[in-house]
Amino acid sequence: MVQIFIKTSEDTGINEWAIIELQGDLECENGKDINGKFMADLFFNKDGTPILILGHHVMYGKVCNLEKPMVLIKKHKKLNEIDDGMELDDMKENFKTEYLVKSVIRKKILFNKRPKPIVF
Amino acid sequence: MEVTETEESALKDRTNRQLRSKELLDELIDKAKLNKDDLEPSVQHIYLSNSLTANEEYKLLELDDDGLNYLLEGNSLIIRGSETENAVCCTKNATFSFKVAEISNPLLITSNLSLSGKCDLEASNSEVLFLTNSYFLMAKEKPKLQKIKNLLELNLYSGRAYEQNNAQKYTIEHFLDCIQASEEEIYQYLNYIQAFQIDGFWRLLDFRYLNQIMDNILKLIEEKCWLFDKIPAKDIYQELDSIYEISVLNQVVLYYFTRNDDDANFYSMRKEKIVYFYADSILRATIKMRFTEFQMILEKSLPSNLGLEFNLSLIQDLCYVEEPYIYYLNVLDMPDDLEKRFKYLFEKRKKWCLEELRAFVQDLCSNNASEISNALTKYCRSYTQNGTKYFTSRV
Repeated sequence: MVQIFIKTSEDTGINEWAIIELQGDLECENGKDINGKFMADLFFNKDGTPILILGHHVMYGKVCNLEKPMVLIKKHKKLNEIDDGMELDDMKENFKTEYLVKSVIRKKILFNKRPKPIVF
Repeated sequence: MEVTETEESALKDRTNRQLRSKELLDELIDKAKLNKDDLEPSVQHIYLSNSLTANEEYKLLELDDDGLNYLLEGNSLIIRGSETENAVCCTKNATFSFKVAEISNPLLITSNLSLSGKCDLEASNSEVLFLTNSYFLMAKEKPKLQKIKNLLELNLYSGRAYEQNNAQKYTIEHFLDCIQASEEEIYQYLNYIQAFQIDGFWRLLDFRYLNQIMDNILKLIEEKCWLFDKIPAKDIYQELDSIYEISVLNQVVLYYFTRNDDDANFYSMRKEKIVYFYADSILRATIKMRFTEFQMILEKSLPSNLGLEFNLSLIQDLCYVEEPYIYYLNVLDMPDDLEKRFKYLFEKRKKWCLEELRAFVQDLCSNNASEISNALTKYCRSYTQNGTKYFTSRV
């Protein structure tokens, strides 16, 4: 059996992030690397309605509180403390996996209305 | 969609990404048929992070407010499990199942996102760091702890003379490494099964050895004519430390006596526990005997003058009576899974009445009346005969 710790990190503070929830799959151009790419512009109406322009679509959404808060945790390999009696061979398996809390999420923007197409 | 940005209005912000130009945005707003007057002036540009697809290191975990506060206060949640078991997640004093929920909508975890659009900056950048269709969730559950008893029974303690040097012994750290439960629940269970701490290891005493110790203590109490509620523990240790270790004597005292509030030097007998102990010692030796005979032997075993009275209700999780016999049946020997527990009970005896059955399942139902009631409904059939309600197996 293993024991894996989930905890906050002493070094960094806790961020408060958000979730954007879309309906259906996020499609990207085939074969292209999507890392680092621009995704969408987010506007807000004066009445608080969020509006997302993503690709050829404009979507109207709603800001919601999550029923239960969520945390984003990130895997981290931690070096085990060295015992005096340890040999060099023992050092190979000396990492322990743990998860650090990166952020707390309490709200999301839900876009589940049918997107309207934009004609350019 | 690929839209080109005009060169002269390409600005960069702190994250070194180009801010999208005003002209571009105006065009978008226009084509999307949005009314600029209705919009907040600030816009957020959402980018996918540079390592989005490479990132297998993120996980999303749903908590409740208590769980979140627990983490934010600096405590750790501990996932405990092996490849063959379902994982659990533990706080210092509770155990939760740890399961994956999958949903159809993709969730984009985004940093630096304003949710009102009321921003000082006219434009800002946000990053999607994680994209997922699933998250982990936790639900409180009862830990399975019987393995602790099974391990401790492999090496019972009967005094130093009988110790086997190469037998496996366990500390709390050993248990935390192989039992799927929280630390406090493990301690509570160790107390429940009456485990002893000897030389830093948790041990169960051999029953006959404990019986010997109890006999000696009670004999001493009778000889010295101590009152049941004014027993000087120190004198017990002094008189008996040539035969038994003081730390063992001390723990026996802590299990079977309570320290007096008004004077810490004196202890009171926990009468019901002592009666239970002697009933246990008689029953486990005989398994089945005539009830009247049992009562007689018990009375003879208990010291007189100390007000130790027997009542069948005291030993309901230790036996059952089917006139004229009493049968030994110890709850501690039963499976710690509710379904298996009922199966075991109905294999021993086809029908049970409420009080009898309750005594053998309440430990798995947090001693809670409605939990017990739900369990009975789920696992048993019932019928009434001569005014008494009986429970039988559903299977």
